Formats: sequence, C-alpha cells, structure tokens
Amino acid sequence: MQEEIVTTNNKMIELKNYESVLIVEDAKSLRVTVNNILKILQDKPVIYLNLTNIYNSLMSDLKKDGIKINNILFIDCITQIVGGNDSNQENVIFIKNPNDLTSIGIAISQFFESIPDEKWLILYAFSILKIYNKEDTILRFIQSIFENASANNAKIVILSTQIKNENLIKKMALFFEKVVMGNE
Amino acid sequence: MMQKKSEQNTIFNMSKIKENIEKELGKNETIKQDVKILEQKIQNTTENLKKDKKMKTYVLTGVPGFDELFEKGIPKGSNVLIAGGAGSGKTIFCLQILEYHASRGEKCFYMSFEESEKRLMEHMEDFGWNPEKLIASGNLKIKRYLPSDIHYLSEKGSDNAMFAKEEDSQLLQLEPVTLEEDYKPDFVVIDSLTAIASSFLGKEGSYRFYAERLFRFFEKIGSTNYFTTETLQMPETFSQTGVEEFLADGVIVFYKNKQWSMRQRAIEVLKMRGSKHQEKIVAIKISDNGLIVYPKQEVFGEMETK
Repeated sequence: MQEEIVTTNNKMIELKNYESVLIVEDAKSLRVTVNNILKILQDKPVIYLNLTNIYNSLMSDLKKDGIKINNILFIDCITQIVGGNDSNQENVIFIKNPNDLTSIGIAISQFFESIPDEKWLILYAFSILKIYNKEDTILRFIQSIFENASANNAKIVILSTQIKNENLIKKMALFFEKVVMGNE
Repeated sequence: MMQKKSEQNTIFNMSKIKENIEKELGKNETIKQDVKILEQKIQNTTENLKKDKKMKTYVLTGVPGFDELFEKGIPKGSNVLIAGGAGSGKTIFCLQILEYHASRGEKCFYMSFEESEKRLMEHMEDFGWNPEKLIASGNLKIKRYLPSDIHYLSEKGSDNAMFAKEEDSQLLQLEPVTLEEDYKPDFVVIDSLTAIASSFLGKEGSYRFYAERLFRFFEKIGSTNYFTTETLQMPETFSQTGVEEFLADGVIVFYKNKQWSMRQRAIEVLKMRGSKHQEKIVAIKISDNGLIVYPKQEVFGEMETK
C-alpha cells in the first residue's frame, strides 16, 4: 500500500502511522485529497460516508480518476434528499437525510463488525454535517464512531472544509491523532 | 499453716477458676453446636436458594438485538407493559414475539381490543411470517374482543367491596376476560390496556381495580404477558393511570423521536424485576422482516416531548 498522501499544502501524511486523521482544507483541494486517499486505500475495505455529491456524479468522478471501488461501501446521504436516482446499487446504502445520524451510525458499526481485519472510514465532508445537525449532536456522533472504531480495528479519516464555527473543529480535533489544517 | 491455707485458697480459687472455665467451655460447646446448626441451616437455605435460582427461568423475545439488552432475559411469568405512541412499533413487537414462540411450538394468544384478527394477520404476512400455519398448528390464537366484552357481576356484600373506591354505589366484582378452558397459553398479548380503559370512562377507580384483577388473573395462569398501552410519542408517563406501571413486573418503552422532517424510533427497558438489563435508549428499525433493535446504537437528535 502506498502509504503517503500529500495535501495541497504539501504536508505528507503517512496514513499507516495513525488511527485517525482530520484534514481541513478548501473545497477544491479537499476533493483532490480525498481521491488521493481512496487511491492509497484501494486494496483495503473502506466505508465512505458521502455528504457532498449525488451517487452518479460521485461514481463518475472516481472513475475519471481511475479509482477502483470494489472494496468501498458507500453511505450516500445526498442523493435521496435532492431527489436523485437511488436505484438499487450493490455497493451503496442510501440514507434519507444527513441528519439521520442514527442510521448512519448503524451502517458504520455493522460494517466495522462484519470485517475482522483493518478497515477504514472516510467521511467527506464533515462541514456538511454541520448544516443538518446541532454541534453537540455531531460531537456525540463523532465520539460514538471513535468508540466503535477503537473496538473494531478501524481507522478514521475525516475531511472538512473550513467552517465558520472554528470551535467545532477545535473540539473535534481533540479526538484525532493527526490534524492537518490547510492554512498551516 | 497460713501457707497451706493460702495454698488451699489458691487451689480453691483455681478450682473455681477451672470450674468457671469448664462452664465457659461448656457454653462454648453449646455455642459451637448452635453455630453448627446455624451453619447447616444457612447451607440448606443457600442450596434452596440456588435451586430456586436454577428453577427461575427466563424467556427470550426472539426480536433481533432486543434480548441482548438483558443479562438473561425476561423472567418467565412476568407481566410486561409495552408503552409507546401511535405507530411506534408496539404491535409489531408483540406480534414478532408471538411468531417467534409459536414457531417453536409454544402456545401463544393475542387478545386484541383494537385491530381485527384479519388485520393482525395481514401485518404478520407483511413481514413474511405465516400466521395461518401457526394458527392451524394450534400454537397461535388471535382473537378480537370489544372493550364492552368485559363482564360485570354485581354482588352485594362481596368481600371485594373493600377495594371499590368509587362513589359508584354498585359493588363491582369484575371478571377478567375469560379464556377458553383447555387453552393454556405460554405467552399472551393484551392489546391494549388503553382500549380497555376507554370502557371505564368516568369510572377510573373501577378501571384501576379491574387492571389489578387483570394482572393477578394472568399471574395465576403462569403465562408471560405483554400489555400494550398508548402514550405520547416521547412519553414521560407510561400508562393510563400510573397503576399499570406499578403493577407490571416490567416496562418497555417505545419512542418516536421527531428530527426535522423525520422520525427516529427507539426503545428502552425502563424496568424489569428480577432481571439485569441495559439502562439506555437504543435505536430500532422496522425492516422487511420485522423489528430490529440495535443494542449498542445511541439515538442522535433532540428528544422532543410533544
């Protein structure tokens, strides 16, 4: 596995060294970074929590970048809410609304529990969660993901654009082993 | 001489001392014997208690994830209140429990004071269960009652008069719903206490008396019983009058939490006498095959109480 990713500020992150990584960058750069991460993790089981693109658009984007999706299970929280095509796909779970954190939590924990080996959670993009959920709810949700991951040999990468409420990012950063801020 | 006397005194004293000691020893012996007897009694009692514990059986519900909320299960013979708002999952939960047990050859009885037999069977079929087969096997009985089917006998001078607290001058001896003589169910669902209570409008005291008799009636049968009761979607009280919560051995609460444009279902074991259980609200989903409980899944979002 290629172990390093490079963010737009040229920070090298060796993914294998960390149980959890938080990356905060501008939107355009974040898109590049998340695809880099998916390329690195192509041979690993990944659950990808998609909060930005509708499913078809996301697939098209990944295909363009030559990213294999065989080992990725997508949790799509956007397609249904915008009325996109959510026809039966093998590798995706559609969640009705990004504020349905309970259902998202169930999907993540079932994924974690069903794979004994090392697996990864990619959450892109955290900033969208803030639009649909209250701050304390989000923090509880993040905490529960970490508890789950810790119990199930899972690693976490969360990507976020800059948000107005920097306090939330700061509070969340406490959970992570490695934090990469785009303006550093 | 003096010396001898003193010696004698000493000897005498020693004798006395020895005597006292021997008396003490004698007492200690008695105490030891008493202790032995006591120890034996304690041992017997402990063994009996152990036997009782072994005899105390627990039942599962068969609802995926729900039984994991308990260390062992629901004590057999319990009266359990199933409380929750409209559409929160109470009926499905009860049907699922009976389907689980009836499929395993146990006798189950669904007493409906609300929905028709046909409607309930349709609910079961929606989840891929086969109620007709279970009914044909004799393991499942579904019967609808009208709340007005509750029988009244008035008896003057009845001993039960002391329990009648109503200003109603009639002395009521309430006969709980009758079961067919040869049918001894292992599991019973009474759906719902709210419907039964509706037939006591204006006579809440009589209802409380009736509820108490109803619970005792099913205790005598020895079945494990589930009584549904309708509450608010996010209840803070779990029964019509409060007496049902008091009488019940267990209370299981269904929630339907409003979150913006959605509702999230959740469940909690509020109490269960004689059984250790988790004390938290956890997520539930209604799948194509019935209810699923996620015992480790917290529910996110505001808990509104309207």
